Order: sequence, then structure tokens, then C-alpha cells
Amino acid sequence: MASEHRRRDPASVVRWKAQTLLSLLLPAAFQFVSAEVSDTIPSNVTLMALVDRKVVPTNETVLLNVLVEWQGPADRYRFGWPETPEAHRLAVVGSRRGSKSWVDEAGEHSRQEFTYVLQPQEVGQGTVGAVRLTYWDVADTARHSTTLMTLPISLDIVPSARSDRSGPWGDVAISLAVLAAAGLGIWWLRVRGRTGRRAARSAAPPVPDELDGRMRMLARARADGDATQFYDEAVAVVRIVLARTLGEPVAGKGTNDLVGLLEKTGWPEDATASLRLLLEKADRRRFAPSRPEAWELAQDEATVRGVLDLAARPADAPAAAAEEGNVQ
Amino acid sequence: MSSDQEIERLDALIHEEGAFTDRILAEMGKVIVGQRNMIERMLIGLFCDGHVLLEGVPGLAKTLAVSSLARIVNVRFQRIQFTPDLLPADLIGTLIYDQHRGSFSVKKGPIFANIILADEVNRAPAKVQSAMLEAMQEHQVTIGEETFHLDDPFLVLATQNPIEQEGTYPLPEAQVDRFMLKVVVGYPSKKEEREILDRMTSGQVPTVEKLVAPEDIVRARDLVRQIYMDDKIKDYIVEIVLATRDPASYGLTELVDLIEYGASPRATIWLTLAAKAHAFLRRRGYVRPEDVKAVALDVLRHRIIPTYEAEAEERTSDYIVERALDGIEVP
Repeated sequence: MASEHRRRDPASVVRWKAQTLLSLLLPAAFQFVSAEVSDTIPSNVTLMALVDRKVVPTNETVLLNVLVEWQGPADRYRFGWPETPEAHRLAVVGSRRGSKSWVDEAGEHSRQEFTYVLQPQEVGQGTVGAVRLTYWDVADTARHSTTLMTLPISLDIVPSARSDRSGPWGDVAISLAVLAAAGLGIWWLRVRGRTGRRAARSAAPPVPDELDGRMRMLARARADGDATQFYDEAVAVVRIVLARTLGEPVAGKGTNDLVGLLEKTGWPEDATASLRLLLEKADRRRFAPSRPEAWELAQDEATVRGVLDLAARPADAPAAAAEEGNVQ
Repeated sequence: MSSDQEIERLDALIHEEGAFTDRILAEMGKVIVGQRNMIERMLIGLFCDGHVLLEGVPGLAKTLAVSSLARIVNVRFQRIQFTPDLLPADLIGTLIYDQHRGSFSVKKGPIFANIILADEVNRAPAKVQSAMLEAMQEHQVTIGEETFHLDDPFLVLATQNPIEQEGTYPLPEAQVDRFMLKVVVGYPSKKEEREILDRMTSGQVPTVEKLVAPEDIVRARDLVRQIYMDDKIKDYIVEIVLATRDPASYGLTELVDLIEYGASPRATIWLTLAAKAHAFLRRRGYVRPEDVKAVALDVLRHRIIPTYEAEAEERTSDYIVERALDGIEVP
């Protein structure tokens, strides 16, 4: 099962399992008879394919849910539609896409869900082929893409009069499924209440790995004298910190918008003034050929490090970072 | 162009050669209160050799702005009021029989000018609109058997009224696409409204002076095309346009059911040129993502066809473009 590989924290695994089941059971209240899950798991992104039943009459449809989940903000990865799965004795007659983000004590999580409606074509053993999904990390400027693939899923297609839900036992199965869904829902709400979801901006997070990586690349770019790369990384760091501080997406914002957001951070005025200058200068360095002096890069690196200090500071702490001269 | 010095040289050149844009804006400010966005878009059209469609309710100084611009630039200006009984010959001209000579001679129409104000363009029937749009595209017209090239610069500034749609002939999508920009003209602010009151109801109504020669415009067009655009900006433009065609690939799932047809490659071309012209107006020798964002709405809004579902949900193409700009990562 995907969930067994997905996280190492058992509590998270249980929560995630329940959430996945609920997303399938509660909204549609469809007749959840059985499901098959398959996955291939790289470092951070999980791909799962599920069907809502194992036995399907020819006059009904079966839903194939493809779930992609990862830790981090929704705009961390970019996905295309998964390739429409090859299906034997089944035809894809519809599809839709949805997305979701949430925060728990383990951090921010995001999910994309692709749903396919499959119509049986003939009686026999039906197969849903492997689902392939290609994605790339938006932080990776070289755009190296990764492809994930699920395992095939087989199901029985029966004549319309021979559904496993036909007759009184089918109704019993439906009733049991609805009761199970309701029970799971109550249990999940209690678990969720205990974990206490919080808004993304409610606490100042420690400097996470992504920022560390960016800062290392920034330092390397400075050492190499690569001004474009240096300012790319500098702006990326400011974007990440602003997004986390304000709890709103900034990927689609340009320099003027980012400068406007600085006013909302509550950071010391001299710090925001330095950042404003940095952002305005960065556009010149990033979008036109330029060769800044080494001291200029060193000064701007200090400004960026000052941003990290501000972000790492608890929200109610005094503006010590700027006063100590960390921000130019 | 690639070196630091070349950008600096271009910056300096634009500062010097582009100084007349400030004079134009100042002169326009004598007769038009506010409406900076509309005036800048008209200049962008002028600098990119692209036509502009102005949409707004009556009384927002659209016509005054166009006629003032034509006067400032010192070029030949013609205003054509589009009406349901207008004929193509009224626009492009016709052959007239000369009794003395016993032959036909050409009588050129009002389209033979540098700046054309096509007022209420949606009030004329399709054949008149087609005649004008063909002239806009080809920069030439044919009268009888003779083809005439139109003067350079040739700029059509068309206006249309979003209300009173009865008895109008809405421009087909394919023809609207010929306009580089579609600018929606809004109401002035309270402060501007008060200034309009003061300026237009006391003393003499201000007029504008001839300040700029057509050659200045031609030189500016040359400079606009030289403005440096980084590969990252080019990729950004392409992503914005592609996102209107295939929003799902860019994570814009909300837009999937709202777009019937996305923007054409013509949008990519005009968005690139308009961003350069915007940088020129800001006296910069290179393009920033802000330039692209600033003009994207005016370039794209008339090139995206929303679905019936979008119309039912009152989601306009403006909404679609804004969502796409929010969703596409700025470089």
C-alpha cells in the first residue's frame, strides 16, 4: 500500500489512510465494495490509483481515482494530466481534476486528484493499465521531470443482471458501507480535532531545508560570480519567506506585488527598505546582462540572510535582527 | 545584444529618444483628466504598429483622447462614425466617372490617413467592418483594379459601446483578433471627476499643440524592437498564452471548464511587443515580468473565448486572464 511507504510516522499514516478513504466514501457515498491500490514512490511524491469496486456490471460505471500527494505547498510541483490509462474491456468516458492543501503538525501537504469514469465494454476480466504521471519541481530551473507509474488493476465485468450488489445482499452491502463511512467520518473528525489543524501563518517556522538549499546555491553563485543565478536564488528565498510569513501564494506575483507585500509583514522599516531595493535591483540583474561587483553580491547576500533571520524570529519578538545589522 | 554595455547604451538611447513620450503624456494631460492607462495603451499601439479597440460607455473621453493624440503627433487624422447604412466605399473610396475625360477616376476614402478613429465600430454591418479590418491587416486597399498602400504610421483606434447592443453588429472573434489591444475604459475617480468639472466648465476649454513628428514615431518603433528580452521572459509569455489553451497542464483546473478557445499565436507576438513598448514607456532597455503583466490583460482579453458555462457563471475573459496570471509562476 502506498500509505505504508509514504510516511514514517505511524500516526500520520493512519490519518492519511482515513482521509483518503473518506475522500472516496463520504462525498459521493458511492457503493464502496473493494479497492485496489498501487503505487511507485520516489522521495516526496506519492502516486496512487484506486477503483471504487472490483466487480462491475456492464450497465454501470467504475471510478478510477488517481491521487498524487506530496509534502509542501500546492505550487511546489507542476503536473500535467496523467496519461489516460490503457484499459482492457473498459472505456474512459469522463474525467475531472481537483486539488487540496492542508496543514498539520507534520507541515503543509498538498494533493491533486484525477478521476476517470470507466464504462465496461464486455463481460470478462477487465484491466486498468498502469497510470503514468510526469511532474517536475518548480524550483528546479533545469526542469528535470520525474515520471511515476502505478501497477495495473484488474476487475471483473459481469452481465448487468449478475451484479454482486443485486438482490437483498447488495442492499445490505450498501447499508454497511454507508454505516462504515459514517463511523469513519466521526472517528476522523475526532482525530482531526486532537491534531488541531492550524493556519499556515500561525507560527514562524524554522528555516527549512528548501531555504537551506537555496542559500547554498546563492552562496555558490556568488563565489562563481554568476549574478543571474545569484539574484534568481535571492528572489526565490524572499518569495518563500514571504509566502510562509503571510500564508498566501506568491508564485504569480511580480516585483511590484512583492514590494507591496513587504508592507504587510510587519518587519522593521529599514529591513523592508533594503529588501525593496534588492528586489528592484534583482530585476535588472536577472533580466538584462550585467556584471555586478563582488562586494555588491556580498552585501545583497547579507540582506537575504537578514530575511531568514526575520522569518525565523517568533512573530511577537522584537525586531532584533535588523537592529543587530543583519539586514542591510 | 548580450553585454552589459549594450544594455546601458540602449538605456541611454531610450532616455534620449523616448523623451517625447513624456511631452505627449503632459500635453494629453491638458485635455484628458486621468485615463492614464488608456493613453499609455494608445501609445503602445502607436509604437508597436498595432491597432487598438477602446471599449467604454459614452462620455469617457475616448474620442477626445484619440483626436488629441493625432493632433499632438502631427499626422493626418480622420474620424469615421460607423452607422448601419455605411458602405465599404464610404470608407475606402470609390471610382467616379469623370464626364470631361470620359473615364473613371479614384476618389480615396477617409481611411487614407495616419490615425483613424473608427467610432462605434460595431454599429456598421459586417461588410464595412471587413473592409476596414482588411485594410488594418494588409495596410493597403484596392479600389477598382488599383491597389493603394496606406501611409505609415497607420493606426486604427476603434471605439465600441458595451451597452445598447440592439441594432449593432458585434465584431466576430476572428476580426477582433486583428486588434493588438482591447482597452476597457473605466470611469474617472472622484478626484478626477471634480477636476473635469473645474477644467471643462470655467474659462477656455484647453487644446493641445503639435509636438511630435511622424519620424519620431518611426524611430521609436525601431527602438522598441531593439529592447532586450531575456529568455526567461520569453518563456513566461509563452506559458501565459499556453495556459489559456491548456489550463490543466499549468494546474489551473478552475479554468478548464471556462475556456472554449485560448489565445492564438498572434497573442504571443503582440504580448511580446506590447511588453517591450511598456518597457520603452518606462525608459528601460530591457523587459521585466511586470511589463508583461501590465499589458497581458489588454492583449489577451479579446482573444479568449469563454464557454457557455463561464458565461452562466458570469466569469469573463478578464477573470480568466487574471487567474492565469496569478497561477503562472513569475520568473
